[in-house]
Amino acid sequence: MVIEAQPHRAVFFLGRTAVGVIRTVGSMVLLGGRALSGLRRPTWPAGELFSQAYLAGNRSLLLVAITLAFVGMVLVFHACIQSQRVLGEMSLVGPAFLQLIIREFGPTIVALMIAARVGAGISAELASMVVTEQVDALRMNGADPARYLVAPRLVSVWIMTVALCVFGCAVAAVSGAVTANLLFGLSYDTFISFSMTRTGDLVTGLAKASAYGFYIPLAASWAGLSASSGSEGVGRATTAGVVVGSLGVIVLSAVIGAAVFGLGL
Amino acid sequence: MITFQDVTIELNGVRALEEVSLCVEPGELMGLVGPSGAGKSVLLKAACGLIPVTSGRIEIAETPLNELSEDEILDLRRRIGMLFQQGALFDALSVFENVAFPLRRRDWPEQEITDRVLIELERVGLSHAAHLLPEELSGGMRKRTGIARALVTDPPVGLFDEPIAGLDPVTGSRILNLLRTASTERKVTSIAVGHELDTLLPVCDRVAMLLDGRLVYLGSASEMPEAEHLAVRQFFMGSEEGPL
Amino acid sequence: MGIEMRNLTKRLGGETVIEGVDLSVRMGEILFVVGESGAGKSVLMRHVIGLHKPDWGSVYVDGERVDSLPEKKLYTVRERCGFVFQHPALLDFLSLEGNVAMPLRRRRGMGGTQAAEEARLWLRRVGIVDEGSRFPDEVGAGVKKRASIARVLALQPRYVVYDEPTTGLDPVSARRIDALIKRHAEEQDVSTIVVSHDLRSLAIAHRVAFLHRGRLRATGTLDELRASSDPVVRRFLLGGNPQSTEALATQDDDICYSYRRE
Ligand SMILES: Nc1ncnc2c1ncn2[C@@H]1O[C@H](COP(=O)(O)OP(=O)(O)OP(=O)(O)O)[C@@H](O)[C@H]1O
Ligand SMILES: Nc1ncnc2c1ncn2[C@@H]1O[C@H](COP(=O)(O)OP(=O)(O)OP(=O)(O)O)[C@@H](O)[C@H]1O
Ligand SMILES: [Mg+2]
Ligand SMILES: [Mg+2]
Repeated sequence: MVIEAQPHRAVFFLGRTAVGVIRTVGSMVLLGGRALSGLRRPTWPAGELFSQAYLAGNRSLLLVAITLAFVGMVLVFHACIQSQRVLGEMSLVGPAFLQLIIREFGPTIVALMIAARVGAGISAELASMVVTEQVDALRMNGADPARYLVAPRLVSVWIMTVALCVFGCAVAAVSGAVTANLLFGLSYDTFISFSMTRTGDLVTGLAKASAYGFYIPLAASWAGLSASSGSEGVGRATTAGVVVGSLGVIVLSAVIGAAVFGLGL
Repeated sequence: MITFQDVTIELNGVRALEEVSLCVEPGELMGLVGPSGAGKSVLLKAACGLIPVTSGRIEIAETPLNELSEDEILDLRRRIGMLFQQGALFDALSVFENVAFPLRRRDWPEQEITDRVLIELERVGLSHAAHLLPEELSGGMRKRTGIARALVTDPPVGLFDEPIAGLDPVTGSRILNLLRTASTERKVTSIAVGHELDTLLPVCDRVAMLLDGRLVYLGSASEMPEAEHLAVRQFFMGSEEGPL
Repeated sequence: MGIEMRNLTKRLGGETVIEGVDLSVRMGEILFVVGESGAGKSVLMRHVIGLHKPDWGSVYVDGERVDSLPEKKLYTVRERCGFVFQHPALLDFLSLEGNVAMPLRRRRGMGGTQAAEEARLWLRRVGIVDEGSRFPDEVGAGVKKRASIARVLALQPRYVVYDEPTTGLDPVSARRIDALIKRHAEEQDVSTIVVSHDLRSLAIAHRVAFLHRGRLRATGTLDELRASSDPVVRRFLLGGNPQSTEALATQDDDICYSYRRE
């Protein structure tokens, strides 16, 4: 009996999870749609875009710099050692590293940082507005929270994410070049070479950065606005924002990677 | 003006309201009382569409709420002034900006906003505190800021969740006077929730009492002590013995 | 012994919120602090447990001066002096009993079963022992309030300060809280300060202090205050009386509250 019951339970579980995911994605898409429709006629207070962008940038600039510097350092260190052993020389480490950073690691790692830092901030802020009924008070004044709160965050975090991705790639490249130069005596000219980086890589990197930049604030806002009442609601919403945000980044990375591969870029 | 018809509301499987029917006439001030958790706040939020009904029908100014789209509801809400139980002040904005907020949403000219807000703040006795942030206010001052924000647009409908909770008797009766004159002189249709029966009931036209989501009393305040329901009488007297 | 404030003055945000207040409460006494909204009652109470530091004057608890104590030493003061906040946050993930037991384990170093037993004892004293296993979001505001009072009282403080204990409660729950405060003060010989707007609660007061715009305007028993000739005090004590509501609106000279048509 017990053995028979197991598959049912698994099916139930899978079914419930699938329904949950579809529902989450659906409500996020609706929220995004409403937020975007608010861009046509902005109603948020003047200066909101700037202050949100400043907040997002300020929160993550140092974090992104430090993380990407270390990522560049570690990757290049191992790549140099492997390349030395297998190929006997290291002239390809730089070009290969730069391609990998631009196409894959730069945007994704930066996005994970932003999802944790900025996403958590947005979720917590909106969730505490929900539990103190401030969101209801907005509704009572004819202000749609999607357009009034989410739209400006979407735009400014999007811009900041793209900018931080570019910045993060640059930091990784510099730290990688310095590592290769100091530890392995590789010249900067040999290291910083875009011979292996094609337009497709650049497009992929930028596509990922923009997708993350749109997705992270959306996921965070969705989590914040669906907070349940009570003091626990804020904490739960913040965690949900970070989890849904980071998971989504990983999934998006795979999806975009596959799409680009399918297009043959 | 505000009509509830057999309204039942379930929240996460909990029955918060059960078959409540009541009607607030234009210009009437209705007091809404009941023990904690009876569903008073839920009723107010349902009246402006912040909580959807499970079954039944709510009409505001002849418009049934459940037939409206989200945008139409946003529009309808502009004609409702609402005071939330916890104030729901925007904590990034000063007292002045909080009260000015509804007017800014209506694109009033700057000069008119200033004049109007200052008048409203004076009415609730907060002229001196216009520049303070919500965190710098006392409990009662927060409440009064919320009241000023609810009334600043001269709404035809007012929903007040515990307008005088945490106010001293003098300030409390001033605020009640404000609500009373608003409905008598400007025909604001209002519901006021409160626990302070001594001060609240005398200014209300009629009183409704909720108990566990059901309407157990609807009528004049003076007849409350003679109500059939034992709980209503106990509630009115505030005595410790009884079914509550 | 007792709590004593001497010539207390506090400025906040560029304004003098408390001005030269002298106030004391004796052992076993129930002192009510009343006054208009924004008069400074909550700010004054926060001085007792060091949440505010006075700009001028001093606060004594048991004869020990506490206003200049460093944060660490304030813990011993806060242990002796319980404070019931107006919106006390119970922990959502603990039952009511768990909420009362937690500080007992952490502050009294009690074992699990002993703390639970003690917690049940206090829940019984405040009259909600049957609800002990329920969670805060399953019970009404009156029960939550009593649980939060039990949480403070279980630590057996010698002094208890209540900030608006009956605000937002229905009349039946409010009277139960009053009875609870009175019984606890008398049985345990605890000095009690209550900030309240509820004139019906004044029935349990031994002494009433009236605060007006940051200054102490009058102190005395309820009867003494009722007999006071000070118009501000009289108006305040009449404020809860419905018959006087009409009279008040006309008496009111400093601020015009009545709704005029423009
Ligand atoms: N978001 C929600 N989810 C689930 N249940 C809820 C929710 N909001 C309210 N309730 C439940 O609905 C009932 C009525 O709550 P409501 O807040 O209307 O009480 P109230 O009469 O306003 O009480 P109080 O005087 O304490 O403000 C309560 O049992 C409460 O637990
Ligand atoms: N952090 C702060 N910054 C500036 N002003 C403050 C601050 N905290 C309190 N105040 C001011 O102190 C005054 C007294 O506040 P307090 O909270 O003590 O009033 P209260 O007597 O408790 O009133 P209520 O009955 O409304 O709770 C108010 O005018 C308030 O604006
Ligand atoms: Mg309520
Ligand atoms: Mg206070």
